Amino acid sequence: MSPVKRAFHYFTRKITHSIIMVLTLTAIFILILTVLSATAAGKNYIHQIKLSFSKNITLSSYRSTDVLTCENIKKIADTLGAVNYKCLSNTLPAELLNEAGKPLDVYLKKDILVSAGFEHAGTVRSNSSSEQDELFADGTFELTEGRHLNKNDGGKALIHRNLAEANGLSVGDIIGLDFPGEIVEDLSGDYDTENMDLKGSNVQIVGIFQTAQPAEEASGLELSHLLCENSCFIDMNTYSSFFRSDGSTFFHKVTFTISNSAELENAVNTIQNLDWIDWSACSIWSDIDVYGPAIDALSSLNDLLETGLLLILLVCLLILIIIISYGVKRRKKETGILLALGITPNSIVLQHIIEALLSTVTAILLSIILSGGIVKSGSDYLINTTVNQANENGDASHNDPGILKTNPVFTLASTTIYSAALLETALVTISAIAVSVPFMRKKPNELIKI
Amino acid sequence: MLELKNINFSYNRNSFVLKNLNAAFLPGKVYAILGASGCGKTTLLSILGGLDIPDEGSVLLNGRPINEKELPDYRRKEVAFIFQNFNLIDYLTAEENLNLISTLDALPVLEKVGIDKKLAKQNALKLSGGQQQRVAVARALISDASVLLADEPTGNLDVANADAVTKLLVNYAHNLEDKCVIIVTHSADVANQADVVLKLEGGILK
Repeated sequence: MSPVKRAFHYFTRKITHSIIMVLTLTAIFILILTVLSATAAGKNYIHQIKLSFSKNITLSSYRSTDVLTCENIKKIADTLGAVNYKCLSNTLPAELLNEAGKPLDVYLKKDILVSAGFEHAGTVRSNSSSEQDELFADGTFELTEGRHLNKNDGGKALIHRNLAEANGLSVGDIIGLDFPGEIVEDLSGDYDTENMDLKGSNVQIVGIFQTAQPAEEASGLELSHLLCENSCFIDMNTYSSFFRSDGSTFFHKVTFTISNSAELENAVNTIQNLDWIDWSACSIWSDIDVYGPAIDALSSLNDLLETGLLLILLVCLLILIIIISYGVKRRKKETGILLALGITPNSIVLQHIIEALLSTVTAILLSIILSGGIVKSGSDYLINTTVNQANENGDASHNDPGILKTNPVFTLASTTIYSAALLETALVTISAIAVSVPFMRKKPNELIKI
Repeated sequence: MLELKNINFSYNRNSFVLKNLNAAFLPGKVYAILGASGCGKTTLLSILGGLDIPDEGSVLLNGRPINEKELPDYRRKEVAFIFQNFNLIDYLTAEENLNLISTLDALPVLEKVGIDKKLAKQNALKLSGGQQQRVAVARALISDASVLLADEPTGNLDVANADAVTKLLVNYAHNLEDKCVIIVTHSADVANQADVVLKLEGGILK
């Protein structure tokens, strides 16, 4: 009789032992499957998050005018291989005066907050071309008279229609920009005002614009100098003269766009490794700052699961050895009889392996039926707990819960099942061999005790 | 021919069960081994069957000593053992116990020992002691071993069945010229049917 037949008879007729083995192996398989599935789901979720990243990296430098010069911006873009970059408009608060030096009447509305020293202040914006400013580009503003500013202009400005009408100004008129003490104090929080030349300047109006579509309503109290109606634009050369004695142009903020959002992390590291950038005066921001804590938490979970899997396999191996050992020891006499009858040791070991594998196959089939619920619940619990904990620990002001609260799409991949089945089969085979082989070295009489 | 040469065997170093034992067993003959309980008859049989290894001496088959590595082959091809406690495999039927060692049809052999088809299909442990013993005898008969070793093969049988089984064993040796049967027994009836009666006393076979 072949070892396969002997094994089959044992498996089907020793029901109690077979049930114990099948239930134990089912529990082990579901455990292995849950860990593998959670790891795969976690990796997949991290990948989904990274794919959802915007491709933009924003570099800001308010306290230094040497970093984001036009030349350096191009150098950074080339280093990154950026497909595009956008220099965001520079902005400053400034007191607005007429040609005679009298403060202009600025637009005020109900519930507006006017800071001391800012009673006649507005926001001065500047870019290489006023047409490139975000507020013109997104349709908030539209030019109604005159022309836009360009990079060759010096001492030129655009003002809002409200300011023009409230103060009787038109294209060609001169206005002044000044920086009284309160404004300089306010600037000193972000800018290196000690090295700035904030003596003020006169600029000529070359264009008038109006609000085409209102900007989003700000939440909370608004500051008067930040209202659209109190905006004006000046050329980059005039703006730069407030910061640099040589007047060379620079930007406070640039957004670089890379080609592949999955490479965002590498791109950020590339910029951070540029040793010529004074990082004490610069900051970098990307979607990694928002989703980084969740990704780190998920990565840590994956590392833990992968390490834990090894430990789980060792523990399962030990459990299997104990259970199979108990079974084989109970069959000492049977082993002795088989040896006495001339059945070879290899045949007996093979029989034990096949018996264990029959239990394994049954357990795997049972696990697959059960796993849709149990494994999914287990994996979801691990990942959602990790993500929710990361959300709670993260910076609430930057936290966009939208994507992270979306549950990962759980699928029990066939590769995961095959991997788990392979691992369990290996565990069972190793256990059966480890337990059976030592008995084969004994004499039949020792086992039968005749 | 099966020989024992200068066999010494002990379960502990202080007392030898078998001392410098020499014996030869020829094919075509039935040997009965008698002796007091605990004198080492079963031990002698287990050494002959390759189930134990003597401390000293050797077992020779047709003049060639059997070394330890050859024991599995020896047990499978050359000897068949009938155990005193039957030692059937508990999760197999009577028929399947015979199929363990032979691909021949087990039912005719079982019928010879008085086990019908219905009993043959039953789980071995569900049979009575006497039925199990007959299955054990059948298991030895179905093998083509040149040496059949039987340890009290009629111990659990009634007179009629015991006689029938003894006849089977005797015929096994006499009708198949290259077979040898060695029986350990307390039964005078069995001993009377043997060709050679040996007595084990003081570790020596006389």
